[in-house]
Amino acid sequence: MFKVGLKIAIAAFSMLALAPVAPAFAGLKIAMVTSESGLGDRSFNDMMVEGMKKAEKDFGATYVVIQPRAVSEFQSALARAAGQGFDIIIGSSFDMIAPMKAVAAAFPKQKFGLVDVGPDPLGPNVVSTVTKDWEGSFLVGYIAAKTTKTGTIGFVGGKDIPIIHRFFVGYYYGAKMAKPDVKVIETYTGSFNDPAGGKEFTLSNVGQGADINFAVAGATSAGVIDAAKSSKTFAIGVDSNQNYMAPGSVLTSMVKRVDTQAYDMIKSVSDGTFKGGVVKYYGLAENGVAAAMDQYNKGLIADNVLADVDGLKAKMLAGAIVVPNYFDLKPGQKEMGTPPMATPPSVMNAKAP
Amino acid sequence: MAPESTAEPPRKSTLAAVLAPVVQPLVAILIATCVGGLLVLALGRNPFEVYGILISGSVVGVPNILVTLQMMTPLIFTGLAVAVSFRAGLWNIGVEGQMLVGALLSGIVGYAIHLPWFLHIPLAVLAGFVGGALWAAIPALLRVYLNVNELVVCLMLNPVALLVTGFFASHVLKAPGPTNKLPDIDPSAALPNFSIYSQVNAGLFLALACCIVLALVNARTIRGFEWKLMGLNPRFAYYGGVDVPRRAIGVMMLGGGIAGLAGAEQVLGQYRAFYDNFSPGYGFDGIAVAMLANFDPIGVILAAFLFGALNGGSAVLQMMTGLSKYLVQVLQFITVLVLAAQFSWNWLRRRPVAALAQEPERSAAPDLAHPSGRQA
Repeated sequence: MFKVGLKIAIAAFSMLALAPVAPAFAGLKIAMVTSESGLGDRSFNDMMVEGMKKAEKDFGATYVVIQPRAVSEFQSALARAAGQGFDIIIGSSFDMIAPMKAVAAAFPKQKFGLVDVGPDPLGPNVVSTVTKDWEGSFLVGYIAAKTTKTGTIGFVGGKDIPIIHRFFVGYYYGAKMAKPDVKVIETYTGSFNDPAGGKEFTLSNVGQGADINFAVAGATSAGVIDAAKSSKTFAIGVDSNQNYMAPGSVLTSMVKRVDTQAYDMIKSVSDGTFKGGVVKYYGLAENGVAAAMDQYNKGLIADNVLADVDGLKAKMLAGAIVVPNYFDLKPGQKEMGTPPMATPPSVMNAKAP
Repeated sequence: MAPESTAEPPRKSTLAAVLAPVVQPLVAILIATCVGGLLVLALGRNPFEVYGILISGSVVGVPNILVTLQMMTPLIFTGLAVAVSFRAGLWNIGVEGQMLVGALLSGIVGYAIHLPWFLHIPLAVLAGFVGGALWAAIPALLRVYLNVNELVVCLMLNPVALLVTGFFASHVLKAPGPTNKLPDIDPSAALPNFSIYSQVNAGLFLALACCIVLALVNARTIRGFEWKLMGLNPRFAYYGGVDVPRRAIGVMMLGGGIAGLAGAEQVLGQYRAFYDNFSPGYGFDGIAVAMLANFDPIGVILAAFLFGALNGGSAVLQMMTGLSKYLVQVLQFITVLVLAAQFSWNWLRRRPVAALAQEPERSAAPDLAHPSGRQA
């Protein structure tokens, strides 16, 4: 009796072990490794899947999404995917830089991609991207200054750090181009993870007359949008399209198009132009940034302003307008960009270190 | 009294005696596998194929085995922490919070203090233990001296720990950069790991050693026997001469300390820095692991291996089939559900409803400071 059971168990187990495991793939095989927040984040992860879907349609590529549960699982997920013969493995998290560097070095033949990280290349077989968020901020700054009724607009940043200053400088430049006498209030909550603080700072800006506030603050942004709703002013979302979060209160969102970035990586593998060891910049010309327009903010922005924005885009593509990058500015610099304009007080009055 | 309890216990064959403790968990796993299989079928997939990938993705090939070991390490610690407390009758479900506090202290000692490795590693690990033990002391003291239900306090302290450690990681001691984390620990505090495929590290051996030591303590020492007595009946233990209040505080803090070691292993061996909100719920998975192990330290190793294998195979399942990670979590939770059903079924059978009605409060939460029932 026991022996028979054992035999059945062995037979069942060997059946399991021999079961065909690899489904037949046609065309390119792509693996996407999400950040620990996974699918359904309504942000980078979901947006990148949109890029995958487009690639599926255009190149007949097939993709799988691997969702690690924690940052500690990034490296093993990448390494094991590297052993599976994917044509490219694409990651979506800033915390994946170190694991991807290590895995890419261990699998020099495997192609990797990582979206929206810093300017340093990750390895000879990795392509990474930087989003020119300052160009997108410029567009929403222009829209804000054209839309404000009070003549004052606000900026609610997370931490007071250079990468966030980069958004502010673009925003300021756009606002001043739209209306030279517009007042721009620059604030930082000190945290990317503090919606309550975001709300406080935003209401304070509203108290000083700002009727539009640009939230560049990660999870803190939710508080900015909440404050806009309760004070009947406007917020501007960031990173992903946040217009849906409070329909009618979010003027637009400065979207980083990581879907385009993922799509282009797959495209380069598909047509054989993939080149590792480089950092690609995604600005307006590369369709990497946009001011989001959808059913939730329909009618909030006047048609003539939207027409102006189209004109601005054409000028930017032609090089007639060059939005300043904060990292190119020196402390105390008086003018910036093409056409030149006065720098914001936080740059003008800064002392060289 | 029910007639069968006065009758002579039925004779058991040796095989049955050996199998008895493992039958219950195995039945639970079997039921969960069948239900999970039906679920997979409902998703339009072949259950044999899916289970085949899960098994091969977790235990076939060195990389997969190493990942399984990585995934099981924190679960051994948290499962053991739960098992130790539950066996002594203390419902410590605050292991998640104790782990986070331990991890924070380990992370601080790891980066803020500079020592040679043979001092730095033990000190950082010890900091994790102390952090977890101190966090567990809060519900323990409240339980013993104020008779506040430890279940509630433990549960409530989990989000508090998450927010407090998050405050440190995002405000007080935050490292520069976009992620809320502490600065990286010194290399001298890092638990060594062995492969590019996995972050399994020396912490695994510490976890296994803890299980073996506690198995010996449970089986061979007076302390282990006292814990068991307390778990069965604290009032009886008190009359038997056990210092119940002190043992209760001690065993809660021991459980918290072991939970803190889980945090130390994560920070020193896997993340190499304290990250805000790093845990995907190891402390809660630990409750399931401990239940599956029937609160036995060696059983914890096996149960943690099973859960680790499921988590480890999950990534392979996702890359081979495109199925979601949630399928694996559902499979785990079904196991827990079946176990919980068995657990409460046994509990209800052991206690006739009449007995519960006679003495409702005392049987629910015995007063540990005054187990005799008299106020001192």
